[in-house]
Amino acid sequence: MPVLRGILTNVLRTPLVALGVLTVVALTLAPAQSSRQAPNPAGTSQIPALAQTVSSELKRNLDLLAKAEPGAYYISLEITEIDAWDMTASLGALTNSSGMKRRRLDTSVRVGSPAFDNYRVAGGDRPIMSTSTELPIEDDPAALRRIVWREIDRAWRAAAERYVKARSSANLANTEATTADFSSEKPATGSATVPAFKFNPSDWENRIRKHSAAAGIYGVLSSSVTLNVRRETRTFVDSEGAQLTHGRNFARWGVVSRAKAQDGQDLVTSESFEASDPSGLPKDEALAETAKVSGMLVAALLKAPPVDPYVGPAILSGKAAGVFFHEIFGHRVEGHRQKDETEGQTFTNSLGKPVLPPFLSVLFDPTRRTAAGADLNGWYAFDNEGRPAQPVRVVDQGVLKNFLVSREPIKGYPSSNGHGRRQPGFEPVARQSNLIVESSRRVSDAQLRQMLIDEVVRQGKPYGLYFESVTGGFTTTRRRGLQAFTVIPLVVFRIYPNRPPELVRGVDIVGTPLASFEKILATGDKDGVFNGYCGAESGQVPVSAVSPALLVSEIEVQRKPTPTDRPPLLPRPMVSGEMP
Amino acid sequence: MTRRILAVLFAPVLLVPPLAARNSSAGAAQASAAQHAGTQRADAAAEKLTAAVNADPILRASLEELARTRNLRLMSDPPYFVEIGVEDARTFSVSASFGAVYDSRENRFRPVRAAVRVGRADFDNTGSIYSDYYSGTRYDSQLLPLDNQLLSLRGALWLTLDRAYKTAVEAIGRKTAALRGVTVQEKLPDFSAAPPTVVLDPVKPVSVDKGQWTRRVRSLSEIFKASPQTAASVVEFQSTHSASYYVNSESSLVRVNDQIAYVHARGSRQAGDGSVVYDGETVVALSPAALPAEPVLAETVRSVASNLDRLAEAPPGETYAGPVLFEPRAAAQIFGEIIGAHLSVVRRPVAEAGRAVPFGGSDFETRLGARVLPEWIDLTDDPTAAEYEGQPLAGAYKVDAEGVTPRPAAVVEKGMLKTLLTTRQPVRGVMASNGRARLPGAYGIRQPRISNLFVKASKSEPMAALKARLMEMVKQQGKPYGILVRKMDYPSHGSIDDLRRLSQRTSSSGGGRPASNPVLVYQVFPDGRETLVRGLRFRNLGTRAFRDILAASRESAVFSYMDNGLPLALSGAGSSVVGCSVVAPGVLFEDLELEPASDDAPKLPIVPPPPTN
Repeated sequence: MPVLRGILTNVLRTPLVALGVLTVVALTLAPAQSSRQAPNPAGTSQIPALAQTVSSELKRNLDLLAKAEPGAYYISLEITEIDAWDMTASLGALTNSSGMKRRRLDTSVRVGSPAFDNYRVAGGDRPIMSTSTELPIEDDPAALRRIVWREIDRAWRAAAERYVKARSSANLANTEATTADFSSEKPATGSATVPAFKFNPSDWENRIRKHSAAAGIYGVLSSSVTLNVRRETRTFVDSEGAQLTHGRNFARWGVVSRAKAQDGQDLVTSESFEASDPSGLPKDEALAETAKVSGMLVAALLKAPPVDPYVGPAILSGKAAGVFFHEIFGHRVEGHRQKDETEGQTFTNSLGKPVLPPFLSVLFDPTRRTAAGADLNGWYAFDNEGRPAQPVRVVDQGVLKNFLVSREPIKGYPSSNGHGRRQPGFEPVARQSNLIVESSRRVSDAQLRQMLIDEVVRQGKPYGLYFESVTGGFTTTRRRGLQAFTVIPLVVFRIYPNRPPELVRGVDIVGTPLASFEKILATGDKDGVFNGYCGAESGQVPVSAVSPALLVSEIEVQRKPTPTDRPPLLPRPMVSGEMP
Repeated sequence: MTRRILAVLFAPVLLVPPLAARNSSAGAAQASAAQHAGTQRADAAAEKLTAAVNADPILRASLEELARTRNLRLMSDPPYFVEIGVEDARTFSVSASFGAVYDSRENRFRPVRAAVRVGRADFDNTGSIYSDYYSGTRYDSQLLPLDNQLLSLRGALWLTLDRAYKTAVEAIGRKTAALRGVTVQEKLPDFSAAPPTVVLDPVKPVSVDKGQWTRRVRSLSEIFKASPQTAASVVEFQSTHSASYYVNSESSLVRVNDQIAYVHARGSRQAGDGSVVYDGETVVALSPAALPAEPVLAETVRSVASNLDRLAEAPPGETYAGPVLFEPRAAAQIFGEIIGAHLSVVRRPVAEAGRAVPFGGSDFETRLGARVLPEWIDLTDDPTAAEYEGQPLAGAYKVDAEGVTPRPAAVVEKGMLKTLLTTRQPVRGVMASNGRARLPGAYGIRQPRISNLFVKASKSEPMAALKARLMEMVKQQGKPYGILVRKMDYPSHGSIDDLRRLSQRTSSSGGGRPASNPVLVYQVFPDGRETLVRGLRFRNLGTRAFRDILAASRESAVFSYMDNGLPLALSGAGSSVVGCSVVAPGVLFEDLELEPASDDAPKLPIVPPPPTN
């Protein structure tokens, strides 16, 4: 099997953060519905005028709604404008290419008072009241005012209804809330034009055709290369005087290849690159090579043996470690989970106590734009509540120091630390940004590998595992559910003391979060970056995780449940004479 | 002749004759007739056809993968029938609210629908609740690549047909198992025979002046600005055109052009008591060039805006039971919605005993030969008509979605139901397709739909005379006024919330399909006064009421619209639409019931609307 051996040699010679390739976790970008000319590079922004128009309409409404029953004390409007292009090519043919420009208006009204308002969480029931609607992309003041007026009216009515319910259920409840519903903050103002980028759709269409053709390895059932290009401008105004215009650009190139083994198991490999400008993406040769490796790996997985259930030491590549931290750790430090009695509240009582080995620290820094030579997806200037982005050191030398907080205060945190985030259409809650793992026990890749073998021998195991690439996992943090996490490995190798490594398929990581933390022995010395989207209560938000490779003394894996349907019954149509 | 052509086509690719010899008795007859007719002419035509196919990558890829399906085998036999439908589509749309435009959208996409039948024509995998369900992992996309490389197209079709075959094998097993506990009243075959069709029209490019339509839509949307209370409004233009392909294993080979364009205007606001009133109009044509000129469109939008204001100011209507007069346009709407729906029959899908099946059913399924309309009314459905008295019609088409060529059908003669609109699924009393398979459907069966429905009354009077009759009846019954309906909300311009409220109320007031709301309803008084009222709904307006139509008007109206097969044909909700037209006179119903809506009326806004500048 010359192909398989070739891949392994390639992978193991390079640093364990294989090929500088980045993995995307749970990236779900909705397919675009439209197409238009490439974004206008001139892009003169009339956004500040937009901010003024909606701001004045906001004020006109609040003046009267403040006197209503119940009275409104706060209104905010966020307009998210997205200028995007999405294209996909599959095995050499273009399947989609379209652009769109869209504006979304999210309106939030608060009635009552900051101590008790309509956002009061009762019995795990998170409020969904902000209305979300599409806005024209033209700045006609009369049209904008009419739509803003209508949305504020809707939002006030929903707020009033929920406030009345929340008040009556508070009268019946046993527990006393000790925190307010809305923090007191000094409003921020600022205006920054989001730079336009050069983008030629037809040029890129030809490029992704070529890249996607490279993934056409025998055995691959489907494979797509996708390019997503976004320019996002956000306008935020509120009744406290906040007035912000800011945003960012984002370009992503990704390849996903899929195949089905004879026993029915579905196999997937996926790689991606992100940059804040399409020109920052790698050159064609690297992209084509990445697509080719994606295809080759999935073809190799077809021939790989399925994994056996295993408990033992393992190395997670930097990217895989990033996902690991994001899932098993990151969600548990989101502020609102600490006060909701239906959540697991794993860390609520752990402030000041060790939660990780002492050589590890964890920082959430939305002000960081790059790390390890890659652009970070979780960068922003202001969060979705108009608060400036702030770095938050959550774990310092193993000890839990902080939670991520939005404008919904939690015990001990009366103010936001700039992590109130949401996807348009949702209510903001505390969400992760750029998760950065710092380690003071860094060793070289060769040493890390040796430590793995030593641990394998010490534990009397036949082999250790190396997780090269993983994709999105899910966590259940609620009390009623199972306290388990599953991060979905895509490319995993068995590492033997005295034999060449062996690719295995169908691997699932399992384990309880607290137990896994104690078992990190050491880290590598190079950071891997995973860029992706995280989905939770407030929708999909862009995030990243930066981490060195991890050596874990014990990780548990099981075999993935396998569907029983078969691969295609007929061979793929091919040009005659094509060899596998 | 067809079989010979296909044998020639397949020669360079595969030496495989077409599938399903047993269904082609008509084909065989044609073939031998053609042979007698002149072999030289046939050869030339066959060559031309081969050249046309080879020049069209979608056709070629479809035929090549179709041919391979005879090798599909699982625990079961190979398919006895395979079909592939592809649309090579382009759309352009642009919309605006209150004078400000949303981004225009332009899209190219190639949806593919492939179906495989296993078993036999008298019992196959279709027509059960399992027919569309695939339990395995899907690797096929529902879209073909946009590029024309043969292997890419074939690769996508390969995955699609593989999944369709596995779905069919799974479905026939579950259908067979479900039937073990059920006694079926009448055993109808699952698939009727149909002669193959070969139509290869050249692909017609369509150009749309995007800049001009963007300006128009912006300008039309400004009309709604004038009334400050209008909370929401939109004007939209969309044009869709596609080359539609269909091939099947019985040697049908079709490529035709499909086109539709529309301008749609809608607005909503609250009346004084908080009730939401809305109105809309959708003007449909078979190409952007055939849409009315801008001044006419502006007049249409103005009528919607003015209806909103008049409805908001109108008093709420009262419960009423008595004669109701429908003006021609409103009559055309209810003929299209109610009669059209019940003429389109599909069979109830097979399911296990006791299992609830979401299925509407048609009143007409069991009424062939019975009287459904007064004996002085005839109904004809004619898919070949392009216009009526100078007005264009929207319902003409050449070939249906199963490759069957439709002909005009006399559905009702002298009030008696003569036939139904069918697909290749036989229904009681109509064993063959009459080429009305127009929309995708559920359970492996396509939805039949009307094309151009003509309502012809052999006796009629002017509208004024009908009005006089209405007043006479009202006087006799001692009522203060009669009811006149000028416009129905069909296809509905309501939002999802409005639709939900409507279907809730229908299930509470007697079931059946939800009928659309009347929009413009007038109380007509003996002194000739007409008062617009709002918020009324019909109680049980169904096929039964049509039997008791008392009179029809001399004047008639052409009503053209888009049907997407969903309840109320809710605008913008379906992914596939077909154009339909109804030509109907005004009609006087003997006795209908109307009642006020009991929907929640949200409170009026506390803040007055912003100034209109």
